[in-house]
Amino acid sequence: MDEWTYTIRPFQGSLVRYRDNSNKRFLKKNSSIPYRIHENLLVCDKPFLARKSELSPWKKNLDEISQLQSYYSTALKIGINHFALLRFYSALKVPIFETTEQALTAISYLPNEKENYIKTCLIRTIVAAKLSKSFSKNGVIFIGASLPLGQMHAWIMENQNNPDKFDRNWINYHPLLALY
Amino acid sequence: MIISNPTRHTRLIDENLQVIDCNPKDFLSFDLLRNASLDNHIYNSRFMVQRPDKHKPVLDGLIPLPPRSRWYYSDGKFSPIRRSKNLTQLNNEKIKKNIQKLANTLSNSNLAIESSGGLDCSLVIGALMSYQVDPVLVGVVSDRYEFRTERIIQENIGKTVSKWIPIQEDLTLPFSDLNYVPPHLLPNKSSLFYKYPLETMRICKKNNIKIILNGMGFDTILIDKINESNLIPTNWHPWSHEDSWFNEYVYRPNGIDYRSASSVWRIIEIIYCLREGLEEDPQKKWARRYFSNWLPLELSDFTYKADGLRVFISGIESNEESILELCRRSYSVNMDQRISPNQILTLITRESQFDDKNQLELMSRISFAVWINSRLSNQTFSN
Repeated sequence: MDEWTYTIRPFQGSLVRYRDNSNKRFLKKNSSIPYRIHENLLVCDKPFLARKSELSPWKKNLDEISQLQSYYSTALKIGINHFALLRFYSALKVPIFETTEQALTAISYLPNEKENYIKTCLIRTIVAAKLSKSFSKNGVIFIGASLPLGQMHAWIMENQNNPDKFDRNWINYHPLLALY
Repeated sequence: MIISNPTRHTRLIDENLQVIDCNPKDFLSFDLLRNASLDNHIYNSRFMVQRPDKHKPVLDGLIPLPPRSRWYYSDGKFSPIRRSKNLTQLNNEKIKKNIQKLANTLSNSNLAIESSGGLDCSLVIGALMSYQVDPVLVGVVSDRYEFRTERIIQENIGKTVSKWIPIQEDLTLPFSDLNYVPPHLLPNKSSLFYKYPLETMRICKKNNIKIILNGMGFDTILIDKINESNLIPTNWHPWSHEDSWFNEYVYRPNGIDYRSASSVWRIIEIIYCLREGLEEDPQKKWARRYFSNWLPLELSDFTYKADGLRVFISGIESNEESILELCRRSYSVNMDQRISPNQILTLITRESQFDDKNQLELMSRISFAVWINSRLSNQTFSN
């Protein structure tokens, strides 16, 4: 496992591994990473340092869920195979929710979301980032891989916390790509 | 009718309710192995403990009785008999006395505790240390990324005891050394993890350890909902909190007692009294808060748990050839196609889908083959 370098292609979203010395270039390029990524990466590395959410729980609001449904359906139609397009879609902000935690809680009310929870991680994070006000200030989407298996996962960190209370799995994945 | 097994090993009972106390080497004949039911073993594998009320016979007409268990038999059905003590009569004073008694008993033993860096065993370590017990800690340390928190906890707790013996994960991978698994009465998926208790036992033996405590079973007593409408907690039985396979086939033959701390009746009583009236608690938040003085900060404030799936898959990948060879031998005795090397290989390849059902199927089939092979490897058949 140690001899391979793993990365995720920023436009294709695919996991690649290679054996050359490019990892040095990678480290140099990222030696001054933005503070927002740095503080959240620290928590990825030491998850027990994660802050506890102090937000009051989101009250179910059918209007917001109805709006959310259409954005979510569009993201699903774009699909995870069009990673660059999904990124672009996420960048077009429509801040319906004050916080990412609220957005993710609202997403959990969508039909079939709980049943497909593991498969929809990328769509969920992209839509939550798009619709949350707080994400623009403090949030980072991490895309990581379980190595050396290559299984991938996407999750959000915001203010040194994973705002998705249903995501119990993120600690098993190496963060390899950060989107913000 | 009451049927009990007061011994520390699994016994079988036949259709006439006669208890059979037998040595697997002598008992398992070629005919029994040839006619054994894989379907029933797959069904039984869904349960942690092999128990007569939830068992379909793998060996025709024979049902297991777990060690130290008592059963009521009526109309063809078994039901467990629980201890008659009234669980709600403990007050705080009695609780403290109970822990003190337990600590006193254990402080006079040559005691080790498994240290995995998880909540359950850390709680046992913290509780005993607060009563001046200084156990030896033994545990597998993994270099994998997902176990980074567990590693830190293990190192921190390790610094607080006189002796901490880490075992490298590579030495204990699941599916390792399956050809050396000793003959056992019934197939059991615990046999797939044989190398882990084996390495731990060797260390304990070298260090003159007589009792090793583990954190098994706390998933029941720290998570179950406890209220009047829920009967589960009153069904907590000491024998149901531990998988006795490791004890029967690895530890006890070497003079070591491998016990789950949650199978100690006093601990069951204490947790029941403290949690009475509480809802189901899958992340064990109550325990993290209530016992925070005994736990490292990384556990009292933290509710995530690393996934062991990658260790499982590494074990399969590292031992694929020996698994297939063992299946080939077992298939020559029990001709169930599902343990043939080809079908096992297909299932191993499918394992990459990480599906729970697929995993259970694979573990059931391979443990069935291991069971047959363990008998083949150890003795020639007289018939």
